[in-house]
Amino acid sequence: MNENDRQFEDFLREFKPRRPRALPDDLAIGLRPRRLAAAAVLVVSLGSMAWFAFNNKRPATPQLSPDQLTHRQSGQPRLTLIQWTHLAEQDPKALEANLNEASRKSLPGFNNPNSSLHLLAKP
Amino acid sequence: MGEQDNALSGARLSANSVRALYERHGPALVAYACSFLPDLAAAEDAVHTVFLRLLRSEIETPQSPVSYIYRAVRNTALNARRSSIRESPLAENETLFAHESANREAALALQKLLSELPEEQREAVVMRIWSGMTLEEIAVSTEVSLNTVASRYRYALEKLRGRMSPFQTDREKKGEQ
Repeated sequence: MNENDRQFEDFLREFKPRRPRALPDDLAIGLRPRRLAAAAVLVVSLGSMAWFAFNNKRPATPQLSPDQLTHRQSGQPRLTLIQWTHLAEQDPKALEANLNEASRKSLPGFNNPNSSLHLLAKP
Repeated sequence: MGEQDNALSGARLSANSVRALYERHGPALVAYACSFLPDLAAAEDAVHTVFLRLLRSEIETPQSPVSYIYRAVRNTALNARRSSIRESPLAENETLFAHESANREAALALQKLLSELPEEQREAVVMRIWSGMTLEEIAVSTEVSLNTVASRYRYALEKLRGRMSPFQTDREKKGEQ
């Protein structure tokens, strides 16, 4: 590198490349699309959970009238689990009667002489 | 490049370091990217892409961040050129350089001459003149020997001087007056 080279280098340095536009600020960089998408998914998930929580409340337990209880005791329709629970709370005697009725229909009988359980049962 | 830039090297650069590098080398990098891309906006986009990735810490930089950034800008610009539909050259009246004495004609001439240089020579000139890198640093950056870089730079300077000397002479005459 001689003096002419250095002078020519200095001459070239007089030409300034155009400054590019500024980089975006940190906040704008932080909110990049991937993070926005993740935030959107989170919001939708939380919203869905909240919606289900408020709209799927436990249904009110129907109050059984004495007539219905009597009807139940006759053992015609099958009670739901909620109705069984409610019956136990309201009228334990009616529950007992319903259980006896149900057991007669759904459990194997011991009293039938042709039943295998009858043969196995101890006298 | 100097000690300041060396101090900025590391596995992950802080945002302030990245911004400092952008301030120092951004203009030269845009000039460099213009070698590969058809217009200034595309060149700026390529440089921005690299710096935004650095700011988001998506990439790790090696020991010499400036060299790495030059490589990254080059690759990004080449990718952009491949995927670009536009193939038009840089508009003739679109000035990449500004001259201290507002010599627009000289600025356009320099721009044209640079675009006509072989890529390796143009790279050496941009790194040396507008990024302030030493020939040793350019050799490391471009992964060639110091002699090769020195030869490339010398050839480039000769070509530029042959065409730019009238403007240099004019300036000296004006300076004497």
